[in-house]
Amino acid sequence: MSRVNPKFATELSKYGSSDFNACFNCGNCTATCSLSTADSSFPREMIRYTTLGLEDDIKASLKPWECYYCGECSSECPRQAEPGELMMSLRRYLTAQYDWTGLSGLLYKSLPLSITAFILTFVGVIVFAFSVGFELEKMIHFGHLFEGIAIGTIGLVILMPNIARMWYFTILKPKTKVPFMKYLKSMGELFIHMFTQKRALGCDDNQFRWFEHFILVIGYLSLLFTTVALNWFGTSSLFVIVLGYVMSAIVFVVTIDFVSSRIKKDKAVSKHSQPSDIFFVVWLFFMGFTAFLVRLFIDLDLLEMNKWLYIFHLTVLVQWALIIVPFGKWTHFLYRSFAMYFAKLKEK
Amino acid sequence: MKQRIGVYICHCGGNISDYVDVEELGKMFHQEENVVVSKDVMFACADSNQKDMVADIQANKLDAIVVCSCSPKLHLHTFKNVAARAGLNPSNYVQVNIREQCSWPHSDRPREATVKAAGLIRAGINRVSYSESLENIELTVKKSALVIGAGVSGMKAAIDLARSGNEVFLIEKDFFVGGRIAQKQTLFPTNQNGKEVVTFLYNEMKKFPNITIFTGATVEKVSGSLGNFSVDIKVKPRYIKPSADKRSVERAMGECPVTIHDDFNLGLVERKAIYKNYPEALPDVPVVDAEALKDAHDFTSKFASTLNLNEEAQTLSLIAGSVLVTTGYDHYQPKEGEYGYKTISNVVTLPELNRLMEMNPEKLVYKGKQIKSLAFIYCVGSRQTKGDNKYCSRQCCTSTIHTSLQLKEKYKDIQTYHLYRDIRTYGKQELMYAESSKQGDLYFKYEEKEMPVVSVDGKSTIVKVKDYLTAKKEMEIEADLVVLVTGMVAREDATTISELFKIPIGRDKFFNEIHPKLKPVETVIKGVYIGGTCQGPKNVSESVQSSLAGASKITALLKSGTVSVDPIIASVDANKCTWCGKCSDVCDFTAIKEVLFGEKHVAGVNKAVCTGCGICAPVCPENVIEIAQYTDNEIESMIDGFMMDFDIKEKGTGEVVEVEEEGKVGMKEYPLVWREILAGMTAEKNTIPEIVANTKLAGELVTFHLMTMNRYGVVVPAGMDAKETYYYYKRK
Amino acid sequence: MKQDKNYDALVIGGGIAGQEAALSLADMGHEVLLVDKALSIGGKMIQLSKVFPTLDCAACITTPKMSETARHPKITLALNSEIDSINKVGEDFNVQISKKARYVIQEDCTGCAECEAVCPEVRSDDYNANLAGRKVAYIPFNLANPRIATIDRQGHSAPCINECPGGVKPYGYITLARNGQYEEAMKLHLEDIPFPGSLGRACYAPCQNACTRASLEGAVDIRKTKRFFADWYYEKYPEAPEVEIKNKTDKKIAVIGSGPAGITAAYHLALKGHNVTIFEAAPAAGGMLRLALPEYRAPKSVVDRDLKNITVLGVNIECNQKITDLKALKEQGFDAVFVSVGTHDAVKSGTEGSKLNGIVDCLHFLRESNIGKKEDLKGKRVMVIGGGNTAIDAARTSLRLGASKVTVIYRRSREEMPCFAPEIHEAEEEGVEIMILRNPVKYIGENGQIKQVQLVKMQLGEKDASGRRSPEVVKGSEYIENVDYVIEAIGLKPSTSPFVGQVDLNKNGTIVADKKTLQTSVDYIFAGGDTVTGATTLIEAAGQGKKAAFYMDKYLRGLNMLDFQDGDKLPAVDKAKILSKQYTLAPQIQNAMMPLAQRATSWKEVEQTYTEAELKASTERCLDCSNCRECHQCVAACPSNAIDFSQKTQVMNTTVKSVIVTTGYKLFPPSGKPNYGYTKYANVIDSMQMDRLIAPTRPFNNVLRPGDGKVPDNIAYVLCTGSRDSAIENSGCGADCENNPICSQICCMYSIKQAQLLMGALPMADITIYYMDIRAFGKGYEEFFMEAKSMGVTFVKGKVAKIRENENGSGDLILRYEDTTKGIVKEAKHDVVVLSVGVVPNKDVPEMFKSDKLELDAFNFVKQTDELINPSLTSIEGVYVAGAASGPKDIPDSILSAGAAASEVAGYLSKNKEPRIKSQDKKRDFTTV
Repeated sequence: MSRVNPKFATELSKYGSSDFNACFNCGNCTATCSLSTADSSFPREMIRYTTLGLEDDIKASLKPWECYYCGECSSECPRQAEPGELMMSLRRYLTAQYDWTGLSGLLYKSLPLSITAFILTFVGVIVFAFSVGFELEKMIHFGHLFEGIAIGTIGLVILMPNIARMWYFTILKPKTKVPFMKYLKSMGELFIHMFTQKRALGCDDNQFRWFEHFILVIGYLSLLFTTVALNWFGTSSLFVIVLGYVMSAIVFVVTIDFVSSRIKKDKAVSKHSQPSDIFFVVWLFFMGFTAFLVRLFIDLDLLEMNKWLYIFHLTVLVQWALIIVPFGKWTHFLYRSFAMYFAKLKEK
Repeated sequence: MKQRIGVYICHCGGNISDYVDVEELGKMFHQEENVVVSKDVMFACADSNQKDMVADIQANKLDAIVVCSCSPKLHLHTFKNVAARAGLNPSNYVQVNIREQCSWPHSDRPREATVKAAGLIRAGINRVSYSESLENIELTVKKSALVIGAGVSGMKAAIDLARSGNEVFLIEKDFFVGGRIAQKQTLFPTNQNGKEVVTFLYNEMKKFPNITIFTGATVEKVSGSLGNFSVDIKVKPRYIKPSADKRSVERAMGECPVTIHDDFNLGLVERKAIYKNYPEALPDVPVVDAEALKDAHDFTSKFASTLNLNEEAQTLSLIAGSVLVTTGYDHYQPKEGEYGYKTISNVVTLPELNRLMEMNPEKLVYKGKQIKSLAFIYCVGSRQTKGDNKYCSRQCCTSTIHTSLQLKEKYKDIQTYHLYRDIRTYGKQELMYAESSKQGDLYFKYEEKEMPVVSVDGKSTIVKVKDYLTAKKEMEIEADLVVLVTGMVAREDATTISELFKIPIGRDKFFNEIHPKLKPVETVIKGVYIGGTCQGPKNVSESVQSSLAGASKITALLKSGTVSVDPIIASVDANKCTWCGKCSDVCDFTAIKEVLFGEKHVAGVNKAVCTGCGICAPVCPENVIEIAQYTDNEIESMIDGFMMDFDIKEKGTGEVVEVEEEGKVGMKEYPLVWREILAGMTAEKNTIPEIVANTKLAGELVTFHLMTMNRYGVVVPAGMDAKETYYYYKRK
Repeated sequence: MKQDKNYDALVIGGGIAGQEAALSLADMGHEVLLVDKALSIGGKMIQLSKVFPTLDCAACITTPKMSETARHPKITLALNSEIDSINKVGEDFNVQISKKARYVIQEDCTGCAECEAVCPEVRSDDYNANLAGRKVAYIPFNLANPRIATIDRQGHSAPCINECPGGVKPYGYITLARNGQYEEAMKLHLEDIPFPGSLGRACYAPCQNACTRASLEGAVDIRKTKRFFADWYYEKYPEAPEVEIKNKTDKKIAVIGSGPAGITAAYHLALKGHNVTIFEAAPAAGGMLRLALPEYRAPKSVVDRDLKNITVLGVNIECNQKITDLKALKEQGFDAVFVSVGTHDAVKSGTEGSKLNGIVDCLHFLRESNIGKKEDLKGKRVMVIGGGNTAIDAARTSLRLGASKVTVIYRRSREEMPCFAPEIHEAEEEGVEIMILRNPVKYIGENGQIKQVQLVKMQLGEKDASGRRSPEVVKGSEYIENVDYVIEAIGLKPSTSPFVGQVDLNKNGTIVADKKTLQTSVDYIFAGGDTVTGATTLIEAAGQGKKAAFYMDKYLRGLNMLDFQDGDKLPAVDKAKILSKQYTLAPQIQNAMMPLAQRATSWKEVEQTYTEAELKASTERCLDCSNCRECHQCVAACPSNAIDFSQKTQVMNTTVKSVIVTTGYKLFPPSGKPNYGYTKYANVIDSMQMDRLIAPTRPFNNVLRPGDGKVPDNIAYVLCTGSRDSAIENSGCGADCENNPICSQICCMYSIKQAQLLMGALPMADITIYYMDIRAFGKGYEEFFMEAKSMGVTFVKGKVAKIRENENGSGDLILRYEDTTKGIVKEAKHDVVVLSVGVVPNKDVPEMFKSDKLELDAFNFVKQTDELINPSLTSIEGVYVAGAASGPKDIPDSILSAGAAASEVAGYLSKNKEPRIKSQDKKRDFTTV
């Protein structure tokens, strides 16, 4: 027995969903979706849960993560209820639910708050730069240090507990019994999906989108590795330097396409962009691009100019690490992989 | 006795000829001695065949014809007209129904169907050989129409009838005109105000001196027939003196000490015993409930110059050429306890909600509590598989959704829940449904086998429903007001009207038309038409359209002042009649009266009133009453004919009758693809896949052309393959 | 344009609503004009199988109504007609209607379908929703009213037919010849021009230039085809078979001149029953056919046989009769005269020395060699001046008369030569020398005998009025050539000198004749052929003769000639469309010629007739350009002579007092939902196709699926195809489809109806209906729906998203949908899928209203401006709407709305004319009693 809660729709609309109320439950979206199967049929079920405000059912569901948003459901919807966009909003909503700090929710719902957070971090970087007397070398040194520490801290303090909460909502609370061995056996699923997004290949739209995503993930992770572990800005190893150039170039080149399609709004998937979507791709672009330039200026010995460039790069980096990674769209990457893993666990 | 009879046996496409061997029958009756023409025809009713028949009749000097096809209900007049066009008296025509009576019911036994058809045809031939030429009876028609019910349908029809030059009597049972639309504040889809529409129509009627309205009037007695209905009406008194001035009447209304049940507001409130349905109600004269005031002596004596509680009802007699019945519908009244109606305090019906909305312009309040959420339960009293009302009430889905939109517009912060079975917002009304969902109205689908349950949980009312849109999950909805969407039912007094005018009632208890497509506003009683919701559920626009359709029929009927009717009536052989009066006693239509025949008292038939029902004939002890076209000779010869033996062979099985014998000139050139297909028909008979395999042509193309070749008689079907999956075809 | 009678009401659309409205108004005594684009009244309803919820056979219900409508004395039908404009003038409306040609005389057609039986062309049959075919000559459907035939010419002729000045039907006889129907081909030719034998040899064949195939590998050799069947026929019938002429008149006509124009005119006039006498000045008949065409091109035996086609009709040819006094003919009792004396007077060059012996004019030269004394040119050097056909004929004749050298002198370049290229080519092959850009300046003689010609070189200058570049003398380029004989072939002029003062002549000697009718300044005298046009071609002259005959017949019958238009041609079909179809290459068929060595010395025909094999190969190259072949097999088959290819669109003007729009609806084109694979998969059909499959008037003998004729046992219905759908425009379905958010109101019920009927027809079949909401709202509908359920029809709630064909090639279809009551996505296999298509507006309605705008609603249906109270009112006063023109409606609702519209129109009409009846009882007050 579930109590209907029509207020939920209002709550969800803050996460960006648009016209899902228009749905008349024809099921066209579910049948259109090439990822939808008899065992896991969506998105109409999620629309229904949302309109009726069945929060517990939504939180217990992994389906929002199973959608890769090709947009076909939205363009085929006879009532223009934008099911694809609803799934996107639910992912934002779920991210906020999983996040124990509650910050994700606040940032998603409030653009001024997000901007404030970005400004604060910028101010922090300026204060830091001032404290080291705007010396490039020191800044790079501390910047590098910050990266390592931030990754560890964010991962341990925020992301890990959030994954645990996700597990609680989707496995424990609905009383799904999973034998321990299954956790181990299914581990592979987690990594495959994390690095390849294999499932997105099932989408009927072009496979190019999947490919872009794939090399972006590889490029991004490799760039992370190159800067953090191999100290790209500090190294003199030619191999590492070239590697860094290639990786950062991949990141900013691919993101250019993503940013432009969000501006053009030519595909269903990019028709409704939330600030969080824009931040994600734009910051990723800046990160790759500024990293590329910083190293380039080092190599060209343009140190005076590089100082300011590095401050910009560091700002982007800090904002990325403190805002977008723990509370922003970056988490989708993590939750989606875990969702595949949990879905495997739930399989009978 | 007719000596030159023409017999036509119809294939009706394949409707008849698929089962009854019409070619064989055509040949069989050709040999009869008094049959001159006997043939089978593809569609007897087709224009070309009608032309042929006219030519046959004239060329062969036929003196009678028999068409063996479908029900005479469909085509009796078609072929009578053919006879008339050919100069043959239409009475010398008999239709034999070998479709509804042979091919359709006996499709499993084609041979027997053919034997039965043979018997019926023989009976028809025998009957027509005794037929007599009759002339239609010309009746004078009074150029006036009686419209019963002054709802939107009745009023609009009255206006159109008057515009077209007819005298119109409009009678209304209530004391005020407007019917149901006055009770609805806004009407979909135009959002016009119901009362304003009533006022508009009333003022429009006022412009016509040839409309007379009687309010508080009921039909008491009906006699006469098409062209001359004599209708007695009773006009109830208003108990207000005609001399009373307006102000004193208003004062009396204001000071009236007694309150009574407010029918107009469906009992949600009470009203004074001197009342108008609503302040602008028309005609602008209040009514007094004399019964309620009988003890209020102080009051009545104070207003003695205004009120006349002793006023008597009047009975008037009207003569009308035709009658249009637009008596409307009643709201379904839920049984006590049905979804908590009357047992749970905040359960109302949709019409009640509509009254509540009008009475609460600012905030929606019911029983002192502000209503913020409403749950509508659809199909209450409609679509019952077990109950009496099997039908769908057509307009309630849209009406509810329209109400839901009005609620949101009027009261802003309001949530509605809709528990439906199928949303039937047909046509452009679908947009209202879309708008409703977009504004956040929630829809739940239930099935009749698992109906929603309304219960009380502490202070709140809960509706539980197994929602078919959420994989049959059980849902709980908390609602301040539960609204039962009640359907339309036939008027309580529909049976009275039905008995007075002899209008048949359908299984849904609404009045029945003759045929929904051929004669959608006509009843079996000539000159009596039905329009609006007394015929079945309709929305406002549809009601108006149907009553106007009725009005157009009446205008056509009354235009010339005369009308001719079938001469199928009773006749009495006055020479032999001994006047016992038995026939007069049994006649339902008071068509037989005692008359003088010379010196003798005999039974006389009123031609205008007699319907030819035939009830008088068998009661006559002298057997001197005959019904035209159903004389003893005719009936007895039919029985003889039907009882004859027929030797009919089994028709070839599996063979499907060829659709048409095409022209005599052969085709000289086959299209190329036909030649290829013929070349691919290598065996004696081939299925389409075989031809496809042989020719390498696409299956689609082969099917298309093979069927065309079949049509033009190049190939013919030759049974089915063993698995009964494909037909065989062979060259013709 | 004629002014028809006026009407009280115009009803646009003859569907069930239109018929009902028309009948109601007519029953009230109003004059009604009912216009429909279709060939029959009946609308969509007549296509249906049976109708819900009563399951009456649709035909059985509609035919009586159609019959009544067609026969009602107050209703006038205008079918196959389009409304060009409706203009409001004061209270009334002026209506212009174009009644398109059926090519069948309505009054004479009995609907016997003989024409349909013989017509060789199959087209997709609209009435049967394109499931089967029908002929180009066809009766729209069995129950059509009026049940008469139509020739579906689609507004165009083949380019070859369109091009022929004589109105001959090459496409028609090509296809007949292709099929071995040589006699029929000949008869088809004889409908227009009576001398195919000569034309088959000497026609310059403009049809071939127009041939669509000419832009590929080369035109179909139409002239040789004609020659083949003409020869075949003449061999079979050495004497012309008797022709029965009906409707003989007592009119006498004199034709002056027995050339192509004269004999053609005489032929047609005789066929129309008139008595014709031809007067010929020459000793033998045939005009230019005989006098100008050399034997080796057109043997005299062929000309003789051609002439028998005319004389067999009783036409009398009097030779050696030179007519000079036209008025005298009238006095002799001739009712009309046709002057076609031709151009037998040569234009003289006037070049210095042209009086010398050995210089002749070309026509004289040819005439002498054809019917007179042949000149002996043995060993002589001959020079022919001119570049026309006669010049080349003269040159080749000279060769055959023994000339040792023949030179043709022409002053422009080769491209400008008026002679037809093949003939120049043949002449050159035989040894004729063509000298271009030369002109004679002076003939130089010796003893009065020509010896030399002084020539000058020419060059081409600016284009002149004729569009050709005019030749200019190259100064100082004169030179001398030696010759023995000169033939001047510079030009011909009409032999009209005797008629000066009798009829008006132009400056160039041609007779002034009306362009349309060929009537001259004297009413009973007509003129045609070269006499009017100046020297042209055989076929153009023949065309003139035919045209003159057409108008002379009207004249003789006392009719106004201007009311008529001769000819039965339609504009040529767009060749690009034909060429866009794929065709394999097939080169022109070259037939045998006389060996070159023998040609120049022989009078026998140079060109040989095709063999039958060559003919077949050649005719099969025809691209079948136009919809109708114009083979006239229907004309021959029609027992009541009702087929008339010369019918034209008739424009009719009328005034009406009111208009009812009952133009109905269109079905949603199922290709607008590409996910459903309509047209891609043969076994995905639309609901109208299924209705046809189960109708008593069905095209097949049973329910078959169109892909392979299988009797289906598992049928699916996809409801809301193109209804309740705002995603249609996202499907990439092109410009003509639009979102349709409204419900179509009829699809649920007709699908349930079909399901019930199919349960009857195929008792073992499974039927599944995929729906969103079942909208069974009308009287008896819910009960009908329940009945279907209890019969075992499966209802699945869920909109089908995609349909694909089973990969195993069985033609079965797989539907993907969500069973929404279970929340599970599923796939199901079916034999046949029926798309229950929705209703979309008929958009050409508002176009008709020119002076006032007919407003539409948001979905492009006609707007009901006062839907509740005056449901048929539109934005134009006096214009009403009924039926599905204002939105989707089922049949009962359409009928009721039509009745309502009739009632409102009656009210509207009466407001001006009928006084209202006074109340029965004047004392009774209006209000309450």
